[in-house]
Amino acid sequence: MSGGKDRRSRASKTQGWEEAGGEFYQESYPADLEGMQRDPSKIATLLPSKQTRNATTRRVRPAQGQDTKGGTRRRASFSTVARRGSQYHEMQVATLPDLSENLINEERTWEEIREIKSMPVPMAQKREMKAQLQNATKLRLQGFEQIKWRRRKAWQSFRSKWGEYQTKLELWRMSLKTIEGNFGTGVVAYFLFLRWLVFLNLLLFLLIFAFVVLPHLVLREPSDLPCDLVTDPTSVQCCSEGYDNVTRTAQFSVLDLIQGTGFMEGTLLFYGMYTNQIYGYSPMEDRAYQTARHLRAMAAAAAANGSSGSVIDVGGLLEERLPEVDHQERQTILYYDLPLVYVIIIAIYYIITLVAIMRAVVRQFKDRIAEGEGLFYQYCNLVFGGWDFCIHNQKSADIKHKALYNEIKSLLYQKRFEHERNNRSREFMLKLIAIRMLINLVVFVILLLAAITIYVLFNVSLAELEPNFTPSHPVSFGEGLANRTLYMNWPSSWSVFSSASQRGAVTFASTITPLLSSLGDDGLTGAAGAAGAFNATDPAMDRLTLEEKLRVLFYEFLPYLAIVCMNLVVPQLFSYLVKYEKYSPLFVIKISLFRTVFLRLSSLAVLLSRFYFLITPMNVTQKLLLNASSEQAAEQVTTSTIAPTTTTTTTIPSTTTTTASFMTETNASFVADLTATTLSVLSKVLLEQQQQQQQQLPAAEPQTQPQLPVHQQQCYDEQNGAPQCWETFVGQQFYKLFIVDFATHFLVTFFVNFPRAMFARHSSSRLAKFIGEQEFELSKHVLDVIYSQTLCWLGTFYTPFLPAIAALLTFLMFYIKKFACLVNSNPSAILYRASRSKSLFMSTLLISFTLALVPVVYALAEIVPSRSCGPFRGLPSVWDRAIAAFMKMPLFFQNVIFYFGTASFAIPCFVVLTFFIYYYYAVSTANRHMVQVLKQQLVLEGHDKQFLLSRLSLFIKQQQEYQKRMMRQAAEQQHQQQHQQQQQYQQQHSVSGNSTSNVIPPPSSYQQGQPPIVPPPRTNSQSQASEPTPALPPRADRDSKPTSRDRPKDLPPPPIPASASGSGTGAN
Amino acid sequence: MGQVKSQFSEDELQDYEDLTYFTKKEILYAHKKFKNLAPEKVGHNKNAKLSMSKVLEYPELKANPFGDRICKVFSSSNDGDITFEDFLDMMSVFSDAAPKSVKAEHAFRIYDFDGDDMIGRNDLKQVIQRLVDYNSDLGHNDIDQLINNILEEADLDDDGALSFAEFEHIIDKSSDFINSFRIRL
Repeated sequence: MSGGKDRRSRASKTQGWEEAGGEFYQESYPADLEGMQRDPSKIATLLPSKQTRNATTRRVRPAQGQDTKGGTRRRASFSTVARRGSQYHEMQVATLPDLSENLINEERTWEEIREIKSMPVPMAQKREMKAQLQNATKLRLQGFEQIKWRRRKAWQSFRSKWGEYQTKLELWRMSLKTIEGNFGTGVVAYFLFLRWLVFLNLLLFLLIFAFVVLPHLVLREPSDLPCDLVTDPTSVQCCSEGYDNVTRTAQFSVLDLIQGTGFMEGTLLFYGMYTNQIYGYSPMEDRAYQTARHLRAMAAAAAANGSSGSVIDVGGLLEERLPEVDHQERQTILYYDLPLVYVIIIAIYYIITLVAIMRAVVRQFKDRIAEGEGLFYQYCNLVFGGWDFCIHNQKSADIKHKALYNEIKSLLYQKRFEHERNNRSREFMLKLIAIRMLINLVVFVILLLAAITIYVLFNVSLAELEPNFTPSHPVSFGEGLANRTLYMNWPSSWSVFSSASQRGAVTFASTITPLLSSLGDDGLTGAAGAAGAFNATDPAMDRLTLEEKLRVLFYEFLPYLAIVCMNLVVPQLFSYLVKYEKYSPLFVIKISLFRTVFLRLSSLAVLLSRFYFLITPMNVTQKLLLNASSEQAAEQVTTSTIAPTTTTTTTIPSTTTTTASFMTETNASFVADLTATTLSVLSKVLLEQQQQQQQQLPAAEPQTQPQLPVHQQQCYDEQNGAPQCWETFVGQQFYKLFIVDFATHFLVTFFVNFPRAMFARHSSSRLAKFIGEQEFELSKHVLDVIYSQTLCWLGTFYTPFLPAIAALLTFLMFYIKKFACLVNSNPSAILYRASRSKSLFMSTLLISFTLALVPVVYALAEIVPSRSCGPFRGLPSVWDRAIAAFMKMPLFFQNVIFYFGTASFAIPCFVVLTFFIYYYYAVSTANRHMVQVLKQQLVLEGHDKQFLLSRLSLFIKQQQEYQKRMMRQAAEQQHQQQHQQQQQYQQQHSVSGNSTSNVIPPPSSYQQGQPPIVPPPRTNSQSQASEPTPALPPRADRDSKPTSRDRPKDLPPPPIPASASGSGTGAN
Repeated sequence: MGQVKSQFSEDELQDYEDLTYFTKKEILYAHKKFKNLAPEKVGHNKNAKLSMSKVLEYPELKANPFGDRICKVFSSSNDGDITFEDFLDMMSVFSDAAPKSVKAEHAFRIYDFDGDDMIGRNDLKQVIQRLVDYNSDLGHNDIDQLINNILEEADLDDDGALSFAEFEHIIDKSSDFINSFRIRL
């Protein structure tokens, strides 16, 4: 029973002032004592549990100070020290009650002065207390204690200074205050959330900037191997060169700035421009060095072995290269592997985001738990925490009153609603269910239509911009319903739009066709031709009229405009539909939010799937390409090393493991490179001796030859309209979407809603009010922000600068939303609670984050990066880079990691976790049960207390009556006595004698005449009755009762007769 | 600033800083705000006593349905009149730095209209009426129902009123209270 223990310890803490006992009460309640005598029913207010701290502060101080300490997390670091101090103090109180006041040292004084501020007394009194504490004699701290105390003091002053600076630096402090004053804390929570996002994005961007962008700017990029068009026109080098030529020639234009194309593509803004090279290691020098060594070795080999043994030479040559490379590698130890860093930083980026969100969510979750089982204290929360004390605007105060009224009504209504719902008739229920199903169907159709529209528009815009784009590639039509419907719609829309802008299309076609043809016929002119063709593109672009440019721009932005418009219109439709479904008010908010989230995410999903199908065909060719080159290499190796097969098989793994240079290069490029070099060597040096060798390798060559056509394909899938660097393309799309999204918010806020609000404000007609009046609907604005944040998460990998843009635009968004909030809209009649809205934001954010993570992870792990750009060119997937790096780690470490993946680790781990879950489940059930039991006990105790209090007040009343009667009787007696005396006197005069027998004690006559009232056991019981709970019966479970904790222990037992206390306990 | 500084000695400021949740600068700022309520009065005497109606012109208190209660609770003369020190106390309690328990204590006294150290049915009724601004059509039945619900939730010992311990318990569990019981200086 931990609860009981806790209370006991708390009780022991308050002992300090209990020692003081009765005289204390007489000191502080002289008036109350008298009042109680007059009005016994007031006795309840004397119970310690009914006291505010106001009256008892002076004595309670140490314990109370500790309470506040435990309560605030901020001061938690000091709580242990303080607790030790006060316990020490308590011990002193127990042992040396008189001296305890004098024995406090400086540190304690200082602590107590700091605690004065938490006391609810006027300033003058506080000052007095401070002066008293300061003037009291105190021990000086010695040695280490002194140093410790000094340190604490310094730390405290530093903290307060720091806090001051922090509030000064706090972003948007005044804005927040204004918003708070007008709209309450629930809306401010939204703006705080915005600020949190700005900082999160900023932090994440700094991370990316420091590790990815900065090295690129500072370090010298090593030059790659030159493009060897003869042997391999689609090698990574050649593709990169082609892409470089495209981007470098672009000129500045404003349109490019918002589209992210042209010169923007050549900036570090996008993925494409990051190098795949390792800083500090130049493949160029390495290559030159190797070729030199190679040639020398060849010559030597040729000289030594003669012409017959040349095959073995090649084998030996391969072997001989290894130590060279090894040697070379050892010279360059310091290098910066950008591709690896890129993938790691992106992973860290997502992890940090997740942790940040989780931390916030967990804090909300804790609040939720603390609130009790869901809706435990909802009424109290509403009444006592309902008013925002920060509101300073009369108009919003009125609205707040209204909102509170609504909330109270709906809370009460909810209770009745539940009752009503249980009593609904069957027909009504059937009708309602039918309506709900219908509306859900309608919602689904709307969502589907929205998705289809976006898909169609995206195809249209692509068709306009890239004439080679054919929508009918096999993959995109192998899937679902949406695409099939699209297929029906497609031809018509295609023809309409293509005819509409034929001229633009023609110019595009004319510029790109030569490129295609040049790529088509042979590899030698391929790359050069590509470069030339793209050079030619620019003048062509210049020749376009402004109209054409705008048209291009329009098509470029068409899908995004559609998405944004849909996000504006469809939620309105949903909120209209939801009215017919007759859900409870709270559920209405939730379901409309859910539907809107679904709309936004589905439009994003369509977009992503569109990107995916654009990319995939290229992926297929790239995979083939990779396979081809690797097969070729393998064959080459086998063919060249017929004689010593064992040596080659050992050399290949050793190459991969020992030579870090080749591993940090990409796998494929290594293989391709190897192939290229060996091939060229074979063709150049051994050209004269080829005849015999070609005959020696009849089995190998025919196999390599058929691969070549695939090999000689282009770097990217031009036919299907795939972009040259699809990562950059995707990045551009997100960039565009982000910008369009922001621009719409800007335009809608300032050019649509603002005039509306103005119209409503300056016109009194009802129509104007209907059109113009807007409420600040929190959920809508939250979705706006979360949506753009989701875009940021999706696009970061392809646009490393997106977090920076997001931070900037969210920063600006704050002002837009502030304007929308303060100028355009009125406070909402719905009551937004800070806690409720915060948990709403965070859970929505978490959902969208997880959903955004799915495509990103898929793309990183599965999709082949483009060959011509980015840090991962030529790799089968991005994640391969990380795996390759992992494989280079020490074997022990690898084994450890691998062990985590095995069943021998996973199964015990799973079992242990299950045990833990079960254990915590059991504990929580037991706790819940305990709470129930304690609550019941508390209620019982309350009944006890009330019973006893009523007995006590009755008792006091009786006593008072008894007293009165006594007095009356005494008076009567006196009177009688006088009378008797008179009589006696008269009698004495007549009869002398028995004067002593006449002084009969009055009680005897009283006892005869009175009904049997319980007499007081002591005469001084009136002063005793002022004790706080004199009437409580002793019980076994005393300790667990909060009501008993303050009962003075050193006082005589309560003056209640045994019969009363017996019946008291017996009754319960 | 210099003019304001001349009204307080360094010792006084130190005292105020030690005894409230404010820094010196914030105290001076609070004084500026206090002075704005009645410039001529406070200009002469930095600790002038302002009448309740004057203090209620402070925007946050003006809009607050419990404004008069707040003044009464913080008034050192118990009649609602506020000196600067009382004002500083008030702002200190309402500041962000003040812990929950301190806030709860004052909130209890604000809501305890009849001053019997218990929030009884009448107190609750008044709180609710002030919250919904009297004039709305919240019937007696509704209010009674609401009070019953509140007591059902929070009146642990079943005595028909909320004691401070019970109130503190509510505040501990209420996540909104700490946010709403706050006035930014």
